[in-house]
Amino acid sequence: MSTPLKLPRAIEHALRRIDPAMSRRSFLASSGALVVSVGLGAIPGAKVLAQVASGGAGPYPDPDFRRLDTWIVIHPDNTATFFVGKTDGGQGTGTAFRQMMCDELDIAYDKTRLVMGCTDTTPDQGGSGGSDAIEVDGWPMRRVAAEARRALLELASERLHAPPAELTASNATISLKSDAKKSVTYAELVGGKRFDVALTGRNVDATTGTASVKPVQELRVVGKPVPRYDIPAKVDGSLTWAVDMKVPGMLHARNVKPPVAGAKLRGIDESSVAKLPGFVKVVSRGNYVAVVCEREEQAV
Amino acid sequence: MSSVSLRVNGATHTVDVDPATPLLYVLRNDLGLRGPRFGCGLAQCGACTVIVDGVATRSCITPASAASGEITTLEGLAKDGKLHPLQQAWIDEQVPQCGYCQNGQIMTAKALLDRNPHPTDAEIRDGMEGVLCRCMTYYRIQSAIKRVAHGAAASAKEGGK
Repeated sequence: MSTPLKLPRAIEHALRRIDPAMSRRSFLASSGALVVSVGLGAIPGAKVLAQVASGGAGPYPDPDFRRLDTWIVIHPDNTATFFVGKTDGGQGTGTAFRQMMCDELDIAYDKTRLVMGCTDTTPDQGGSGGSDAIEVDGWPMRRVAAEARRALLELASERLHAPPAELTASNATISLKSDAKKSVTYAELVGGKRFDVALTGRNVDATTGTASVKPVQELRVVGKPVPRYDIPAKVDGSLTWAVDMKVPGMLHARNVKPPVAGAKLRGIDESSVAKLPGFVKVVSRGNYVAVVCEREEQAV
Repeated sequence: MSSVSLRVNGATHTVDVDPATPLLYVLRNDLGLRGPRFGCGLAQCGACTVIVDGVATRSCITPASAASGEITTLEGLAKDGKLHPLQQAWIDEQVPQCGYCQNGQIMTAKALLDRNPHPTDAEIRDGMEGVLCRCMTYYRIQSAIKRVAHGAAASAKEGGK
């Protein structure tokens, strides 16, 4: 096992302030960098992002896609968190990724969470666009989940004193095919710890372990109509959007755009706007101009 | 600046702003609500919709001082931890894609059903006209409204057409 990294204090404080009751907090405080990424990604709130921004690079400034631990964490409560480098603009890709990874890992959908597209904590799978998330980016996710399952079977083989071929995995538990009572959970094998398994692949799209993905006929979660997990927060006003970002002492600015493309800025008459309510200053560099005000409606 | 008093989701708030400040910014930035959203700022898209005394109102052009009645925002629909039937229908019908406009869709639907609990398809379309959704979720919105107005069976039978 690798040495746990120390959690940057600012991030830990931010997490505690936002959600002191979450059970993973104690896990966070006592464990390594991998775990930090769980907390950070799980609460994509403005306060956290602001803290991260002010605290410098995150614990995983460049998560290594060739490490299994970058993609999947098994928690002590036998749930899992998946980390993927795409974002979901509401097309349901997040739900689909979870379904795909659950099938390969043999874990129930509602025992998993997904962290998407956090630059500090997830692998970089490029931009999200072009309708190719499932077609292209789903493959490495399936392969790493299959690899995690393979690694777990190997660990279980030692624990249960039986070759992997005599074991079966279901609902995050591995048991003997011949005697279901002899079993071990994923959490008992790696809960709160690292897999420490290396992956290969010349780029992130090609990421793979040695395990094969399941044939389509064996998929159980994929192909079922799972409700999108992102919808409830979109109907009760609880979702934090980028536009909801608030930082202490925040000002608001409006970009002043030129009337035609290629226009060059010749001069700024600050006095023309200086008497507007809430005016703070004009900001300019090169051809860029913005007017900064105290309140949002004053700037727009 | 001067003080403006607002009654929002059952509570009274007094804020120190220019009375001409559009209600949207007071709700979002002074009261910390996130349901109503800035979309166009010109009352053309509906993303900022709140209900003022039963009327779906575009908060981006409504001066705070003019909103003297009872204001309800998306956050005010759920009661005692239970979602409003429209919110539940929105989940059941899996309505939102990106979700940005859905505040306006739900609030406009709420005002519609409050004055006409059992609208026809034509009345739904008429009542929801002018609340824009770039993800094109209109058919699912109609299904969700029908689910509340006429039951799940009507929504399943006729929705999405």
